[in-house]
Amino acid sequence: MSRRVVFPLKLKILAIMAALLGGSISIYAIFALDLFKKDKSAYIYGNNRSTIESFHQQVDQLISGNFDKLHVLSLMPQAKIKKLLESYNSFYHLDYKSKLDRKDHFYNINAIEDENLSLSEYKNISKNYESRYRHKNISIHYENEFSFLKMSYVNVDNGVSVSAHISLNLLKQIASQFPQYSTYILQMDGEQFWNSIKTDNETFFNEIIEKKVEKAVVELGIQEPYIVAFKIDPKRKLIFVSKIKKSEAYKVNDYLVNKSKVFGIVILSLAGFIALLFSRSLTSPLESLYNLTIKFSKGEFGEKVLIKSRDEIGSLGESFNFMSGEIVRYMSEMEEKARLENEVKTAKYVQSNYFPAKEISLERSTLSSFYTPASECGGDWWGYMEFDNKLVLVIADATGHGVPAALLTATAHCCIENLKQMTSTNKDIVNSPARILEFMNKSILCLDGKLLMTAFCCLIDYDSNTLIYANASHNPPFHYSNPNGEEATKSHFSPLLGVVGPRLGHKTDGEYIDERISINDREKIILFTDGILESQNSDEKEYGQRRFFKSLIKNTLKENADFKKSIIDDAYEFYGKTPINDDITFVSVEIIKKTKKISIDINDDELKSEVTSMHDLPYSISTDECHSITTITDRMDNTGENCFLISSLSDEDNILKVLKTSSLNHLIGRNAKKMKLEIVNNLKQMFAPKGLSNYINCSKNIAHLVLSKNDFSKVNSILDKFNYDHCFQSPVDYLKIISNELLTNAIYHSGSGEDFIKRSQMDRNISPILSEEEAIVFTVGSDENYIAISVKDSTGRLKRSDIVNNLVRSFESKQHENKEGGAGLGLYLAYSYSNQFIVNTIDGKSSEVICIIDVNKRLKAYKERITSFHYFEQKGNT
Amino acid sequence: MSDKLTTKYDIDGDTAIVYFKGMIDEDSEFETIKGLSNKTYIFDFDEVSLINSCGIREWVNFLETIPKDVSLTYRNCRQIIIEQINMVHGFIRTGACVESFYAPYYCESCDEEFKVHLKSVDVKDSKAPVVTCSKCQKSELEFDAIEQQYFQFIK
Repeated sequence: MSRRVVFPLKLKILAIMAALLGGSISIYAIFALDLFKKDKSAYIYGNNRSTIESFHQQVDQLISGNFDKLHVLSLMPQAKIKKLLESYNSFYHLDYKSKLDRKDHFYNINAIEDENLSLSEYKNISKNYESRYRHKNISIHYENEFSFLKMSYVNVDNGVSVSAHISLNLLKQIASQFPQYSTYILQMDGEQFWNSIKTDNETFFNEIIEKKVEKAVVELGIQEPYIVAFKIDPKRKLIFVSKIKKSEAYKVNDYLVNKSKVFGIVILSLAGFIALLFSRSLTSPLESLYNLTIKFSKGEFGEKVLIKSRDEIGSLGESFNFMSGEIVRYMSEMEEKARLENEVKTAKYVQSNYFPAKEISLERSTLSSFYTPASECGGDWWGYMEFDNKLVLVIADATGHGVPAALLTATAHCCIENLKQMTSTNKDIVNSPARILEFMNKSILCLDGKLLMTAFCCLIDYDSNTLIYANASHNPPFHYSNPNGEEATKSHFSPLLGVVGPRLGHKTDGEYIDERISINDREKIILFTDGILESQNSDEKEYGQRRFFKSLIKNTLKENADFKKSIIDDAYEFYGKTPINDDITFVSVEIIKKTKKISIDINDDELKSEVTSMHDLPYSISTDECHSITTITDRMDNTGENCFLISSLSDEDNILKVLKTSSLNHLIGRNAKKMKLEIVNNLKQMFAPKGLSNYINCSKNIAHLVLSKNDFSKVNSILDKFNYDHCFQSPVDYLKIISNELLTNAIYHSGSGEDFIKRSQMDRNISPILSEEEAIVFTVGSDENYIAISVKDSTGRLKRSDIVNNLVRSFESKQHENKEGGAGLGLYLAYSYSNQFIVNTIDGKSSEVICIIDVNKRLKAYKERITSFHYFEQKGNT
Repeated sequence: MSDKLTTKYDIDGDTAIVYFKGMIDEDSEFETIKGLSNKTYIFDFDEVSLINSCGIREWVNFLETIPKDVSLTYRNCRQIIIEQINMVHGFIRTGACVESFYAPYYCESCDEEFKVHLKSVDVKDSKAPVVTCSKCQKSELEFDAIEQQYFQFIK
């Protein structure tokens, strides 16, 4: 679970410190060095300016002083000149020319000899330059190592002109005052007048002239920049220059930068070292905390960490230690809670075993139930036991819900289990619901009245068709009885009222009384607890008895399991997402005639799987064919009259090869999409013949009595207006043909005796008029699965042989019959246009032909469907 | 039933075009057609609403009265007529032909069934011609019956 540390905290702190200090020092250095450089620049420039000013001033004074001396010499009598000249140490010699052009030369032997020259050597040097610079009043002459300044002066007052050769030592002395600078003097034509460094030819004359100012300090030079100060002396026509290499001038600055770098590195190293020490003190506790979390992840709770620091990390360590302790405590609590929850789950599991299966098919009744607790365990319970062709049912509701109530239901369950053992020995108890309740009351009284339970017990005696019941303050169940098969109304539901005894566990003597009513096949007993009525929806409205009753009425015609499912679905649709606030138990008991067992004998594995997966068939599937009432098969050699043969053959082959050659009454098209529904419906029709209502929900049925062919237009009109939602476009055409053919057959085969013979041979252009007793009932209906036409006459003459013979003839010849009466194609058309062709004949009483078309959008599916055939025959007195 | 069959005629030289309207049943009257004595009959079934078993018998018997040298053509046959032709021997005489008829098609996109008017010559090898949905104008309609069964009459 731990992730590899790529960038440790130590490194981060080091990096931060380095960045902070480095940044700070760098900014400071840049700022300070910039200031220093500016200051240094000001100093260098100022100093250079001072230097050039001073240099110029001293040179000018030197020149002026020499001219003054020349002036004095021009005034001196020749005799005194020599002596005066000797006092001028810097003068080598003087050329004197009087007004009368008399020339004379005076030499200062001492000065010449100071230059290590003899007089003759000097004179030679002097003579060379005399002619070259005669016109200039001031110039400098060079000869190897010897150089001198020549100055000429003409005294306008006396016409004497003097010219002197003067030592440059004073000039050199002046220049030597500025040792950092290279000083030189340029003439206005760019020629060097004098330079303290003879080899220096970089004079920047052009750059100086380009500046067009008299004096300035500027930076010049491209390859090697110089700080150059210059001053132009227009009087002398000389340019005084001092220069210094910039690198030389800023040498101190560079030195300072280098020193700063070294200093910065030292500071950074020091800071890094301190940061390392600091980060160690920071990361060490964090590592301890990290190691602790690793231990947590391994489940080693309860470990603690030792952190001495008093900062936030110290606090965090304290929190970890506290958390560690809390986790240990919480875990122990959770263990305890889990143990309790486990026990409650165990209790729930144990309690679930107290309840019978949701769907139970007994010999004479089906039991369909629903139970859900409001919490883990509930206080509702129901159970049953069978003995001596009797069924005892108990439903109970303990006060409250949860574990205490569940424990009470365990007591109730035990009571019934005990009573099951007493069915042969204590018949006086088990035959009386009141005694059963008393028995249970005594068991529950052991709880000292702390927990109470309402209960209802009833006993169904199949032999005597009697229902005996007793009530211990429980909601009275309902008894549904509709012997005439009418549309269900409220009046068909009777509450099982009578003397209501105290709740179980309330009183020592229960004083429960047995009540009796009669009960018959196909009737229902509906038992429930108050949870279904009292649970509320999001508007806090209770479901209530009114809605419950409406649901019972709406769904009562359904098969028992579907009935229960619909009742519960209706209730939960009302509750919505609101949790129920009480346990709900609902039990519906339907009395059936006798046990219906069906067996399966199918070769096709896929089909076998499909049929055997019909767990919720209202009839038990048996492997024992001998004791089953019918067999579902796909074997063509297994065509007993009550078999359900699933056939893949065409309609023609089914008629000519199966129905013609056997006594089979039930043939199902293999490609029936609702195979199970078809089997269930026809099984219901076999065991509880209710006609059309066994096939479709009759709520949309439209019926019409037909007495003659004149009524056909009304039938057509009904079919035209009927709603064929979700069906292909043209079922009405086929339904009209089916109706026409069936009604025509029924009309012309009505009556009895001579009437029957006369009508059956009657020209079909003439319509017989039937009496009301002979009336034919035409019904059309539909639901989400089927559209059905039913034509029911009152003759009961339509037999399997008549139907099959007619179909055989039609399929064989595919032609009409040329005989008196009909064309003989009516059944052929009705059969061909039906998906299920069902005949229900009550011998001598009625014949009903039901033609069913599957609801589907595709005509092709309708056309491809192999027509199923079902024939039911009952005795007339059934 | 009450939707009695009526007939109208168009005579064009030797050809009589007979328009049927209503239900062909036991009350249907074909006598007047017999009296036309044309060389060619074209029966138009476009407005036939229904036919029952007695109607089939009347129709087959009527056909037997028409001389063998008379040419018979069935035009605009509705689905129920085509089904009778396929199901009942004699509903169409040997040598007679179906010129045009209606066939069921289905559009998956529109979830709707259509009766498409086809000519027999358009049906090759019992395969339904390709038809595009007239409603959505994009989907190819699927033939909504069993082709081998529905086009039996063309053989």
